[in-house]
Amino acid sequence: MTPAAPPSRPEVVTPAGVIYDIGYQRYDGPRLGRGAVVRALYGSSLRSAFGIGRGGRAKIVPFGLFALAMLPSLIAVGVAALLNEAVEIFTYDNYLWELRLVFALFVAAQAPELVGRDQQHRVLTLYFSRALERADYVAAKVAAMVTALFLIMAVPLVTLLIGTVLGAEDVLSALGDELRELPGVVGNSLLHAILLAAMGLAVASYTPRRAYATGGIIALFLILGVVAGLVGELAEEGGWRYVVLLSPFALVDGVRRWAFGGRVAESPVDFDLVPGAAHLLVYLLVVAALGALVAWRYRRLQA
Amino acid sequence: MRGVSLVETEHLTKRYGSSVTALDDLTVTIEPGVIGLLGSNGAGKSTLIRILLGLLEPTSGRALVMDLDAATQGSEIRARVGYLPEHDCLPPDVSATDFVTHMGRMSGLPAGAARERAAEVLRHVGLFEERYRSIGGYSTGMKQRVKLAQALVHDPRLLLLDEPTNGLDPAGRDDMLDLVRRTGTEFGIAVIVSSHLLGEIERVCDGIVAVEGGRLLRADTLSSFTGRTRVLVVEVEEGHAALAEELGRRGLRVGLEARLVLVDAPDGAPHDVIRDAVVDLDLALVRLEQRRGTLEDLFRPTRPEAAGAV
Repeated sequence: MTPAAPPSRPEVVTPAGVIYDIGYQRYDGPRLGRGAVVRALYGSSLRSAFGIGRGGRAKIVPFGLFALAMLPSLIAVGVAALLNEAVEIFTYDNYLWELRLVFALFVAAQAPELVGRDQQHRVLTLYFSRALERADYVAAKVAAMVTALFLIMAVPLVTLLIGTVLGAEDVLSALGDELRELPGVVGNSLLHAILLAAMGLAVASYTPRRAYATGGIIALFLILGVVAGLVGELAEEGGWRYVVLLSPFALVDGVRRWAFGGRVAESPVDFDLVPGAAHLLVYLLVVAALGALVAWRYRRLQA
Repeated sequence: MRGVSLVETEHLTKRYGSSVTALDDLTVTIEPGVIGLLGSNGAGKSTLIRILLGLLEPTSGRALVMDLDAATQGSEIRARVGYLPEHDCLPPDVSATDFVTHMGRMSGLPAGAARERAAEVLRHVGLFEERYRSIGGYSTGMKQRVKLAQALVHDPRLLLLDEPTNGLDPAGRDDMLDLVRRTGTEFGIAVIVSSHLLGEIERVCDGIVAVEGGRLLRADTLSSFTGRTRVLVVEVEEGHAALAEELGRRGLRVGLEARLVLVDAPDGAPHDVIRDAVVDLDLALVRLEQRRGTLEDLFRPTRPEAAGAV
């Protein structure tokens, strides 16, 4: 049956480099289930969030922004090591706040990479014509975006933490002190990553055009931030004071402070005006609504 | 006694909005083999294929693929089917190897197996060294091969190919049709291939399902469809009217269509007579070929008479 049976004709002289057409082969190996497929898509999406597996140019923006995010923590660690003096400009609490522009740019640049490309080149048809469910696709993409953002936030913070420990005079007691900060560091990064990913994907999943998606995400951050800033300053009283929650970074900083404590000087979060629980409630509602928007889009999308 | 049919549809109807009816009460049973889905553009071929995949929901009616219900068991169907869409669906900045490997993993193959299968199917479709280059630089023919490779990577039981020869030059068409034929006959994968060209379907298929306006025109084996397009097309630079007259005088049944002379050649090919007539009239012959059958020929029962009228 298989055409691979060796021909025994005597006139066949075998020159160097013969191509044997062994034709099409059947596949009898294992076939993995949904979970494995989702994990594979998650892995490849996470890599493409950093431009890995694409050309060199695709790596410039994500790795450039990653380097920017790392810079303050490396400087702080370096200065501490050289001068034996702690630099207190960046703390675990204010690090993400100070660098919020970097993270907003990261999600604006990379969310379209994760969800826009498949729509632009209509690869989505090939995904949806496989056993993979649409919800599986969305879950893998969301998880990859959250993880990418988490990494670009948590790695600098953890670097700062390690540097602080190593630069301390009493390393062991410093280790104990700093490890107590670890849940806050991880939690804070995760809170930021989830909100930013939800915002980025909610915009990017609605357009196959990369430029529109990136522009849209940047505009969303800018407009919300500016409106919240202006109105928030005018209205310190009454219902209008809740407008501060419109600012994504103020919102997430409020949740961070509610959960882990520690004030960020420049942040407009003021629990006397807007209570911490309100931040948490709005945060959960916003993330749920944005998630529903993404899910809705993929349910409606024609493959 | 018959085994499980490949595809069964019952009163399948698909409407877009209230005005567009893509499929209209289509009931057909398709047995395994290489089946041609024949119809002009907009006849409902793509709609039917997408309903079979569970990508579209029918407005009413039912479709079974390998005894699985397309409406409720779509994911089980899709696990056993390879699909080549009509439109572009490849990312430009990835190599064919990486892309087909990825699509293999998306069908549940383990990483190593996906890589091996990708190399195998890419070789099967005839992509060699170029498979390591980005797809963006490929010709249309190479892209169609990649699309076929991704449909084959998980070794499906059934291939659904939607206009696989779209946009290909004649040589590319021949290659693609050979590939479809070989995949279907040598390896026991059932194939449903759609086309608007009868000539293509004639070459590769055992059976034909012809649709028009969303309705079933005819479903039959190939042999019952053949023998209808024995029409030679003669194109000369000038003097087609004179040529038609001359050929008529030499005993051929001749018709005119625009600037083409059509010759009905039911028994054997009167190529010599045509050549001599062209030479005698001192005309410049542009082309002389068997007419590629189209739907028009198939569904216009008056074809021989039309060709015969001078």
